Amino acid sequence: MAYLKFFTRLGALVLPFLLLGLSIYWTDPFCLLRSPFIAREVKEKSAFPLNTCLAKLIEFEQHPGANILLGDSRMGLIHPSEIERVSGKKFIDMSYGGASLNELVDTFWTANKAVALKSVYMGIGFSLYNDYHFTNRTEPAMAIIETPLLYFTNRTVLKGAWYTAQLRYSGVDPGLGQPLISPDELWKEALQDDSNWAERYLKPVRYRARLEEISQYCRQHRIDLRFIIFPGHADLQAIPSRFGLDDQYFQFKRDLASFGPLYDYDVPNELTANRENYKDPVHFRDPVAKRIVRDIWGAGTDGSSRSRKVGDPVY
Amino acid sequence: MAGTVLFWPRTVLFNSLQFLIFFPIVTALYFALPPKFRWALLLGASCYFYMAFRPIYILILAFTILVDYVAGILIDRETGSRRKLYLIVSIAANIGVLAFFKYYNFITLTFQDAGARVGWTYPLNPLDIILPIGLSFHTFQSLSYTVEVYRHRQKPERNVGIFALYVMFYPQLVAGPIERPQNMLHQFHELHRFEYSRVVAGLQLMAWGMFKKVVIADRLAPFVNQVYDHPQTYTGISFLVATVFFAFQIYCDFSGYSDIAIGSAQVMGFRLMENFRMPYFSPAVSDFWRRWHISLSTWFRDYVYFPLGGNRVPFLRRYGNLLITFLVSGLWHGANWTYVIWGGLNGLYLVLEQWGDMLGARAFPNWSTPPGLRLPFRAVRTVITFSLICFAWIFFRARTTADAFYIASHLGEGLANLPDDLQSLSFIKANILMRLDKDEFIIALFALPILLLVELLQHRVRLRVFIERQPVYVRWSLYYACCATLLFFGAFNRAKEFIYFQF
Repeated sequence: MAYLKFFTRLGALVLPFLLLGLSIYWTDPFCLLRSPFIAREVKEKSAFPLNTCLAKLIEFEQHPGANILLGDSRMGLIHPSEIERVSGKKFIDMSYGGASLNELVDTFWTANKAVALKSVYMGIGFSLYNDYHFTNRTEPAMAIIETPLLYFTNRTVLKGAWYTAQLRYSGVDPGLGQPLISPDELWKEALQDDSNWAERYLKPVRYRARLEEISQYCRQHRIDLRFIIFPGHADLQAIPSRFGLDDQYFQFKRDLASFGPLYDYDVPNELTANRENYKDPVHFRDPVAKRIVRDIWGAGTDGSSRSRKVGDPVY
Repeated sequence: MAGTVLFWPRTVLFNSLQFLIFFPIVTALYFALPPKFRWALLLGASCYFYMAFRPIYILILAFTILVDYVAGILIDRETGSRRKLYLIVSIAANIGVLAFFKYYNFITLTFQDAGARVGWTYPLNPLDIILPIGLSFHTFQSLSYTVEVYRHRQKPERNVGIFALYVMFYPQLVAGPIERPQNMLHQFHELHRFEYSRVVAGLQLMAWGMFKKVVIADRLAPFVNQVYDHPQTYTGISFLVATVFFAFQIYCDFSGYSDIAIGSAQVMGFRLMENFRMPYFSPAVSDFWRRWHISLSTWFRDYVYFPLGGNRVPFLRRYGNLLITFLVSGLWHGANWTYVIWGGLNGLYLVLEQWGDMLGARAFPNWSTPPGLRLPFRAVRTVITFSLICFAWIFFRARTTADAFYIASHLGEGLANLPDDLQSLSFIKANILMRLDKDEFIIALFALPILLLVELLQHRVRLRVFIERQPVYVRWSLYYACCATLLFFGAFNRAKEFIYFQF
């Protein structure tokens, strides 16, 4: 009798959560479960922006590719379709907004486990090459991919499921990824954000070792590893000096150049002086992105020499 | 992959998927088996639980178990000085294992360091030793058995299997509570039936422990780690936030573990001792130590403090005994000077508190707090006690003594400008959120008052009884809310070991 009472009540307790699990399976906001009921395009609007790292890692697990782009939101401005148009090569964008070097490195190894990589482009800014910049969203995302049960208990997935159901069945767009502040405020906030990294600069001992490891691995396995330093606006370029980090900044460039071919666009010139080229001091506009794509992947160039035409290296 | 996990997991943490499979299977088998086989099932399950961490180390446990089992029988059989001899053999074997695995490298490095200062080369070198999980806990539990047999407070256990189960009962094997034989051994001979209310109470306690661990402790950990791993990049407010967070992290981590341990044992019908009793509501440091890690505090009281003379000695020696007990307790926690300082600091607090009380009683023999001021006085004393305990936690958590002293000496840095600094969003992001997810921070801020409120209610009105008296829709809404909170606010995807596993 005690057993019956216990299991009946346990069933009553568990039932709503089973139904919730079923609805997560139905909506499958990050396409982990390959549920067929709602189109991927819907989820790209309603869920993917909630956790781009999870969305891209799942997509890569299911459809891996040998050529990848790694970086933060700046690399996200480089469109693989544009690269394909210019070079005929297919690349997969594995960049995440606000990424840390931890995430880039972990994504490299994750991708390398899934497929034999051929070409890897890493977009790294000075603010990332700082041991203090430690966040890592790849670990929890990989935990979800490896243990799908966690998919059903993840708050972001639950939120994504709700937004997806809303968009699919009542047409309500959650409007994810739209800035909530004015362009001027965004400009100031981006500068302040970068200053905070500089203020807490921690010599990248750990990151240097991790990149060196990747560099050696790529050399041994004939993977074409290249680095890009994207052009920051002049306001952003002034930050290392302001915090007395000039030496560290040039060491950063020297380090990257020692790990593989480097395209360095972060130099004072007309492009970086012109505010019109930027949405905020960090993010350049589409014409600049296209120019970079042409410069690096365009036919008949080796890239590294071209990039120096944008601005003279000062190291 | 799933097969590997099921049959030979790397860990069976209470907050892991493996335990979610392990626990119902063991519990179901426990009630399904005839009573005479149940201890064997639990012993097998406990071996599996322990060996999931590092199989070979089961031999260390086997050695301790065999030595203490034989010592218990011999101590009981013999009289006079031979009894003492067997007790000493048991103590030496237990402490020897503990000393080798836990303190060999610490002692070696300390001597090497000290030798280098005076130009002497210490001949031994550190070894690559991996500390067996929960070594300090099961060693102390086993040790208490032979001491209690020696003191004629416990009859020796004749069944070696049941004695082994006493030492390695899986719910409390790796992080306590450190049980006494008088409380545990007889329970392995008793018949436990499936009782609905007891099973439900046990599961509820497990859920509460899990809430503390996965919703609070694991959520606070990244904030604490960030500051304590890079103290030089932070200032006062970050140290204060991280230290208070650590106070709650370690409490929720450890008391959460204890709740899951006590709850899972309760489901099967075993009663483990209480390990925490709202320690952060203590109005005095002495009170704190009566409520924090009770099984260890009472162990040190009974086996270290009392044998040293306890309170029945002149006050100066009593203070010395207190300091010695707390220094040893600090060393028990870890082979590092940070733990020794932490223990010493707590001992010093107690000495000063007792000394202050003695002076106060002499100066104002008839003084008592006016009734209207008792609550505010108690609140002030509780805040002071909590601050002192937090200050000591700095030494417990810091990686090195240098880091600890750096943090302790920079606690007030930048606080004068705090009202202005707090106007800046980027300051808050960098110094209070430590560049981590703000949602995580907000959830932690909501969860902490819930923790304190539930503990207070539990103490005042016996929360479980109160909930059972509510209408069915209130009760079930609460159950659903609790399950949803646990599922969706638990930090499952970064499952962390319990802090006290390392001890």
